[in-house]
Amino acid sequence: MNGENAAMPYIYIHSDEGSETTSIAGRYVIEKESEIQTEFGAALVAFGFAVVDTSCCGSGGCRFAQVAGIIVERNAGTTEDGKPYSILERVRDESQQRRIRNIIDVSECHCQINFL
Amino acid sequence: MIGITSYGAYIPWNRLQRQSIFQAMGWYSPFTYGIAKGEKAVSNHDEDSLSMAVNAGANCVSGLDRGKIGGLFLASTTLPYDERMNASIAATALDLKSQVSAADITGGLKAGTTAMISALDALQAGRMNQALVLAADSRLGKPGGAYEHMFGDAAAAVLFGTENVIAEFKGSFSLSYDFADQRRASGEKFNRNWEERWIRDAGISKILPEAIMGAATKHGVNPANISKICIALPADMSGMGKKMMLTPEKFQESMVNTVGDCGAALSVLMLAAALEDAKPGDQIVVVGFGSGADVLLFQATEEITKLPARRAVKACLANRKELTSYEKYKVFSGIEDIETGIRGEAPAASALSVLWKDRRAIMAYVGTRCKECKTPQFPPQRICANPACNAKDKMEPYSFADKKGKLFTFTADMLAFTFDPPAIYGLVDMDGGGRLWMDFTDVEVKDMKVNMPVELSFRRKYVDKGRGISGYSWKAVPAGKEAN
Repeated sequence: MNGENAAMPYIYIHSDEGSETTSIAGRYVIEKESEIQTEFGAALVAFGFAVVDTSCCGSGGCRFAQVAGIIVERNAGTTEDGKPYSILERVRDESQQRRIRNIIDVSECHCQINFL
Repeated sequence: MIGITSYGAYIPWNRLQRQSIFQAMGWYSPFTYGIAKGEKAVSNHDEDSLSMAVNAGANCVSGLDRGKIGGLFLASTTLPYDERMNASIAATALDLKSQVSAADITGGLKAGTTAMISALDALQAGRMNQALVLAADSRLGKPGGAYEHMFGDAAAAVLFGTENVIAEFKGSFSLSYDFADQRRASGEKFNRNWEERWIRDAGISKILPEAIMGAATKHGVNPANISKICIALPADMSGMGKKMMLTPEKFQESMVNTVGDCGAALSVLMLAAALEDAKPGDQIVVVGFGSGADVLLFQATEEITKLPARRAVKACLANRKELTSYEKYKVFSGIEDIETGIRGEAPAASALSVLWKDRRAIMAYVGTRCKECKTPQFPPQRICANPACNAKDKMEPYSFADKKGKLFTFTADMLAFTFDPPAIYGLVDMDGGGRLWMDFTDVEVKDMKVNMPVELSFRRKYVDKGRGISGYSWKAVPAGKEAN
């Protein structure tokens, strides 16, 4: 994922669904990516499981939703190493975030929702 | 018929030999050698009167319909909050309905018997059909004093009702005197007392007979017919028997050498112990002493033989671990402050707004179970976590606090702050489904075994000193026996 300016579209590199990413404190798996239809466009949301089990100060785990952004162009291309990417706009407007949260709340099991 | 329908107890796992107190402090107070006998029950670092009371209550109402309980009376002189109803916290932790009348009964050692009389009054007035009484205390004696030896920590609970009564309430008698044998001013940590001889001669030997004979006269009880008398004082009271035509075996043992003087809880704890051995027809007298006296009269019914085994005094006494370190006792009880390091000093993330919103999950460990696929899940969900189901808004409340489970895996963490390192936490597979991340307590690492049976215990999870908040929830402990 690239891009720093919230108002500008950015390149979102799609995750390998089902592959595990490890870090010093735990690991996570992106289970699936979904499109959520809203009045202000289709939001791309990644759902996954995270486990913190090798941390020095606690442990935990959850199923999470990561709202990548509103789709500007789906499957816009592939990276040099062959990974597909899309062009998205981050969701910064709080009313839009609330709307997406409400949709996810009644459609997917989760413990937390994060906005990129 | 109004009376007792169930009972329970809770005694902390840790027991401190009084000789270890004497070994540490005898240089200063050699006179305590005479009382340095037996052991006393002491709270773990994550226990207080409120947490113990909830566990006693959970043992009392185990297997019963909590939805019928209309009142909760919590007796103690050592509750964590002066303002914020501790009984309401207990009611939330026990997942009682919100239409419950909850009250703290405090201020004196006869609070336990006063709470029972208040509950019975409410039943007699028809205000409720069931009332739960919880009593707990965790008092501190100053190092070097006799109270440090005598005081112990414990809790007990009695459920009163109108159906399936195991001991019928026959009446009560109360005396109120400003007899200041013991006192603790607001904000003080330790108890003070007046001269022991004066307490014995002017107080106990006069007020107790007046109360007991007053109750016998008022309710037409022949003292010779009493089967068990529970006098809530940390001493062998059988010497009083001759005056009242009571033989020594009729005096319920006060557990002074196994539990210690557990204050407002002692009367209820002794009643629970008497009920464990009671037979139909037995007359049981309970006497609370402190700022006067209360006397309650009960008679066991045939129903007492039908009450399923429950965790009360015998099982709690059997579940023990010797706390060999006097210094540990001082740290666990808060007598001594220790260097907690940066991790221990980190501000606790208290959010009372979140606690209010998620109170059933945090305080009562109530999650959800999918009505479609019956998968239990925690924290509560709207969408079923079972990938093969994913049913939407088909959930029903599901309590984990009253379930047992098996240890799936665990770790022991020497870096995370705890008053009793290492911090032990892991995954528990609950009977009936659900896998929970749990903190563990009342266990040593060497005794942690994969697949060991575990259960949940209500504990103080943290103290947020900056905001004056004690945070509570449930931890996992090795499963104990229901009854001995």
